[in-house]
Amino acid sequence: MGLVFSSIFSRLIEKKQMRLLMVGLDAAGKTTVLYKLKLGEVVTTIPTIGFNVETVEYKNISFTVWDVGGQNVIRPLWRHYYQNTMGLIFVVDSSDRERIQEAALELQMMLEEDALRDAAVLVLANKQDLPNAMLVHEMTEKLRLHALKGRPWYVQSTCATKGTGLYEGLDWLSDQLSKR
Amino acid sequence: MDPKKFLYKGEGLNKTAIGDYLGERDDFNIQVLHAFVELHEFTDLNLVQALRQFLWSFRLPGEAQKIDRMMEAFAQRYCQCNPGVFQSTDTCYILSFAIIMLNTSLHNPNVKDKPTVERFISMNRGINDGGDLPEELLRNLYESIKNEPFKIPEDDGNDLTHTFFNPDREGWLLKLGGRVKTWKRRWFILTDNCLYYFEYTTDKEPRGIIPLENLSIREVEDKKPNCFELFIPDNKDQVIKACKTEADGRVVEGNHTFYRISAPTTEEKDEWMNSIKAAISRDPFYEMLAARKKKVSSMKRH
Repeated sequence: MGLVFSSIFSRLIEKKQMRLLMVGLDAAGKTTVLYKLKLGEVVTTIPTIGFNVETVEYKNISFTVWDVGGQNVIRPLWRHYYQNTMGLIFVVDSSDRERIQEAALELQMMLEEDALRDAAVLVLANKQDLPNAMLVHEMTEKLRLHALKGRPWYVQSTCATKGTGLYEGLDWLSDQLSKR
Repeated sequence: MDPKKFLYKGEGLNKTAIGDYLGERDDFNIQVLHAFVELHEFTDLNLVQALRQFLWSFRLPGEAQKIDRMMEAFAQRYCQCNPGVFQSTDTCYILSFAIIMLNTSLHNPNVKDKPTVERFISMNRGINDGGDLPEELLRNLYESIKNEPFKIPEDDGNDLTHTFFNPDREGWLLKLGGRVKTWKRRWFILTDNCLYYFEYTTDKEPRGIIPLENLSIREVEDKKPNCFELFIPDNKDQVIKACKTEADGRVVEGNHTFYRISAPTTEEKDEWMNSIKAAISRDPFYEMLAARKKKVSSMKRH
């Protein structure tokens, strides 16, 4: 009885932790997304040499987001960080039609990672303010998301520099987490 | 000036800006990155020492792709300077990347789950062309990063090297100790009405700082040749306002009632004395006034 009570109690007061990876090609806007989400929070952390990692508190969930990437020979190193990752944020420059196939391939490679087979996929169709930006349905098609089986995915259009769409994306992720 | 040397030696450049420039994906930026890395000398340094030196020369950006390109360029240079240390450049590149990951995991407060040395070892399985690197090497790397995170490079604006650029005078002199009366060879720099001394010419921070305000200078006789000393006029027992850094890194107040200094030659003694006298008599208020006068008179002319 005591055990049951304490577990309910801890669930009430403890923030849920959610580990996320952020992936995307160069200049897709990952860093802007990360620091826009962080805005409004008091940042007191000491800067560290290394990868961008941020913790964002939202709706009683503590999201830890890592900027992940690099060439193929580096991939085995990241695998050790994929364990317990619940979501993948894939950032795409919606205006860059030249590199959309490359982006699709990058996403494909991440989805083939065994440790990420249950991870929810949030695609941020970023840079919507730029002319000729691909809209959600076109992005869905180009990234071949309909072919994804057995995992939740969602495409959110964003303009990270203005901050639009980012929290809608987090809303979707937190809904996914609460279903588990 | 060509871009790589401008970035490597350029005075007053912001190290974050250098890092951003070197991290860009354009072909030209990548070429500059490689040329920049080649200006570094890593011979006989172990991998972490070389990385510490490299990461001090600019602020490493946080984007994974940029770090990837930078570690690849770094590894090529490291292997070129130290042939035979790694089986292949790729091994060195992957290991360097893994060290940056380790520094992030151990020292970034946003990472809650701190890796153990065992996890670091298992993460690096098979990176040596399919084989493993010696476990002892990985343990040493882990301990080194755990005990001493990579330092955030200071921008030249705050960097003392900027202060010591273009000094009034610099050179080797002998200095008599304050408490223990022994002569020590020190590298002296005279700039901004202050006398700084260093153990080595390459030291970034001085061992001691002597503000020249309210001090006088005179020639003295000693067993050492060409001596002069700095003293407080009319107050021979008062300790001169100054500071020095102890061997353990603590900065303490100086304990000299006079600074006795010996120059290698008579000429150098005269030059030093003249320069110090000029620095002492220079009044910042007077200089400011002179600058204003100059400005006013040039305005009248136009």
